[in-house]
Amino acid sequence: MACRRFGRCICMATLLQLLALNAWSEVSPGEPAGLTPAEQYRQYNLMLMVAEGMDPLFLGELQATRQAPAASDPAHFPQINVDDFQTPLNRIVDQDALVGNAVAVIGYVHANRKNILRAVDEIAQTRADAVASVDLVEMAEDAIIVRTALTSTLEYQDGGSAHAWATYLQAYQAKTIYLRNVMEYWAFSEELDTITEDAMDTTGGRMEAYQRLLEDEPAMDSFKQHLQAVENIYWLSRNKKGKPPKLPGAELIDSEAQVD
Amino acid sequence: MLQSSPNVNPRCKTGAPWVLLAALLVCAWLTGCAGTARGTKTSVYKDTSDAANPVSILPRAEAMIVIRYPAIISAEAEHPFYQAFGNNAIGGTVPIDVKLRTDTTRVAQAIIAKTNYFAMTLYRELREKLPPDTVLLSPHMIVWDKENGLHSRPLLASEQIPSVLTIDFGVYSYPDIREIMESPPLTFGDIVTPLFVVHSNRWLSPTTNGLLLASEPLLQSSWSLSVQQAEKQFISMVKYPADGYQRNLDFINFLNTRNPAPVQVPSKAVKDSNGDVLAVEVYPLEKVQMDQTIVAGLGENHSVDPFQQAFINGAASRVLDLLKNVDQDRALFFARQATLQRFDPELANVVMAGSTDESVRSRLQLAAALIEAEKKFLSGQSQSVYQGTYSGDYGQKMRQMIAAEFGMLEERRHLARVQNMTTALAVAMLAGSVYGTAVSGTVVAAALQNITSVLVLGSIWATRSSMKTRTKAGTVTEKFMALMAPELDRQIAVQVEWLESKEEITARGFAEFRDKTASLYQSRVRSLNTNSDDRCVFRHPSIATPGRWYGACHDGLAQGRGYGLVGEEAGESVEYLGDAKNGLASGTGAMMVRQAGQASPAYYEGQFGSGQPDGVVRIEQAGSQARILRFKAGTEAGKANETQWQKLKF
Repeated sequence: MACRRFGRCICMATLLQLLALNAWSEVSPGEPAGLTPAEQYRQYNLMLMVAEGMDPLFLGELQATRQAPAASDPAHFPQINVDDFQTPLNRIVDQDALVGNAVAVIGYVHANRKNILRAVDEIAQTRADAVASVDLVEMAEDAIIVRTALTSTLEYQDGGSAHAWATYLQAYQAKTIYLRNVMEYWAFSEELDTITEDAMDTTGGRMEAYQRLLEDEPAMDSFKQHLQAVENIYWLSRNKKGKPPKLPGAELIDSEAQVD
Repeated sequence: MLQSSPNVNPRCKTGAPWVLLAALLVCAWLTGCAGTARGTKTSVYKDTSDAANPVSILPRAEAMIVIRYPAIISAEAEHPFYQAFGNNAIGGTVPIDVKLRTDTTRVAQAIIAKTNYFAMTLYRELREKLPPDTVLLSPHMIVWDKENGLHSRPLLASEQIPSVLTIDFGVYSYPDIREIMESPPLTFGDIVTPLFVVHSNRWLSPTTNGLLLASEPLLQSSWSLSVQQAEKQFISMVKYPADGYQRNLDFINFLNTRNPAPVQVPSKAVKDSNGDVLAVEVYPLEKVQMDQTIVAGLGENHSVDPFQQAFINGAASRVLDLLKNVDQDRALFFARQATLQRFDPELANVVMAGSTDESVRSRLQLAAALIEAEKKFLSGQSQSVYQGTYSGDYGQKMRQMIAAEFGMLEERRHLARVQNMTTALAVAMLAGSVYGTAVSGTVVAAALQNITSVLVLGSIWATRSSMKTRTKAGTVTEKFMALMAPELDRQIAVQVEWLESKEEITARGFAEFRDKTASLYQSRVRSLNTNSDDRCVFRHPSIATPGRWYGACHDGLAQGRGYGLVGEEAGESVEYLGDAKNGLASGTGAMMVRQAGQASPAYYEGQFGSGQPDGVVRIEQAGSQARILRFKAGTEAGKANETQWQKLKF
């Protein structure tokens, strides 16, 4: 299980690399005060997953219309509360707050991406126990909820060029589908591993049948007798004088070695 | 007298007395008319492995190598197998009476038993040099039925996993055991005669139908088998969906083909200075001699594998070289597509279109995981077969048997040396007394001129004595075979029962495993956003009948990336993978063109327009090196260089 989790960590690193499209200017990220290493790890990864696929131009437009907190402010560490994005009331009534929250998070990631990745690596290396307790599939599910809520909200909001917005949203949505597919692959792969290992335990490497055949074999000693008989033949063939030594298997020479 | 003696090797016969004397002396005394069953201590394949330059393999679901070998014989195939073994002997024509001897069937049984054992050395060596789970074993059962004659079927599903290279491996011994000390091929004691064929998907080497390397005696039949495989694969795509093709073991196909019509095979020698020529590499028949000190003690100590030292290191090195130098994607593309057809035909078709849609990518990822899981399962089975055959009791007894054979062979070598000395002396004396006057003036004649009648009598005695020694030597081998027969039978019986039970367990387990993984796959796959219409038409300007296209389509005609094929079974045929426009090859692609009656197709890769090569194209034709040329509407328009050439991304 630990092995699978470790594998997932690698998957996560790969996924984040694959998701990454751009590099942005960097400032030091704020310390997520009061969070345990596991929670920090979760928050950082969730933010990265939510931010991927957002075009900087689109982000700029969203930030301009919503006056989101300055992303470069290292003191401001925006946290994502997934409940805010899946409560129907918020999604209908408080759409501005929902979008504002998401834009703040994405803006923060765009400004501090490298440092966030460094912080994630550090936690993974120094606090492997904490990382192991984070459920990556659940985290990816949360990221998909946030991304889907943001996309569906923005689809009905006005702003900028309708065509450009549609293109931006389509690109962002494509990344959401990619994330969903990767998440589904993790789950599929884990289940497939279990089936494969069970099947291999049941049939693979099974030696009982072979062993049983050997154990049931009634006259395995005869092998040595036959070899001994062969040695007797050598002795005879050397034309040595006198009787051959009486060795086990000598009787086989006459009884079995009938040449056709 | 010499001419009439049946015991004198015909190689020593000659007409002129002088030459006769010289030849007899040289042949009998120095090298021995009674052969001493020696082999080559260095195979043509040398260990050139470079640990600092390993085979580059991208992480992928497929296997790198599948090793096929004859493992067991079914009851109904025993008699036809023994008969075919006697009829199609390598290294000579077996007399009719010998074919009926029990010894002959024992030799036939022994090569199967020994192939089981020696194949494991090849498996272990390749497995150690390649990433985990990328080398699979495919033991075959030799079967017989009225319709197909002698053929083979795999015991495991290893060949259903796409693989870059497939190796057919076996060892061989001439059926007539009485010839053991002479020149025919032999696998006995410290001598091994390997048979070795390497093939791949035909797209990897279109001009040789995927056949890369073959042992000399199998060359013609392996070539015919590869041509047949190419034709069947072509037909299976024309008449899609059709049953897949299972290639018989090359050696079994060789035995089942009596008096085949000779065919021209583009071939080259192992050390051909012109290695880039597109032809099948011919591995000469060689009797490899293992280290005698190690073989002698093999029953007690097998920490060093003498077969690995004598042959496998070099052969594995050659296989790894092939892996390094081939385009693995080109080898795997169609093999992968064939595997996908088995459990996801819709995806198999879409793959031809080269779609980059996320729905295709994600489904391919799941399919790859499924293939990888099967590969892992079968790799576990291969490991189990290795343990049972090499590390287990079977392997230990085979080693004892090989050591005992070596002891016997050494005894016969000793007798042969004694006999050679006696024969040589006798021959010299007789020849001297008969031709003494004619040979005066020579060193040999001077030595023989004083031979008295007593010595003549003595020489006759010596000849008789040598004949007696020789007869005794022959009896030793036959008695040895008779004595070891029960052990050989038991070994074979254990191996057969074990492999059959293993097949049963594996088949049951594998079927359950496949059911579960297929259900999981079906429950998780999402629908594809693209589709591939396999009723779409592909054409070629020189073929009137419309062909079939798998890939992007518009108005019923090939349009975009895909795979098309057109032509008749016996006539000209064209296969194409790449971009198309209005039903014709157009853009970057690869085309295989087979003229009517020709077994070796020509291969074009590069730019196409209106169905013809148009632009910079690489051409591969059997028997010559690949060339890069410029084409204009299908006509050559001068040379081009590699930098101008755009290869197809498989």
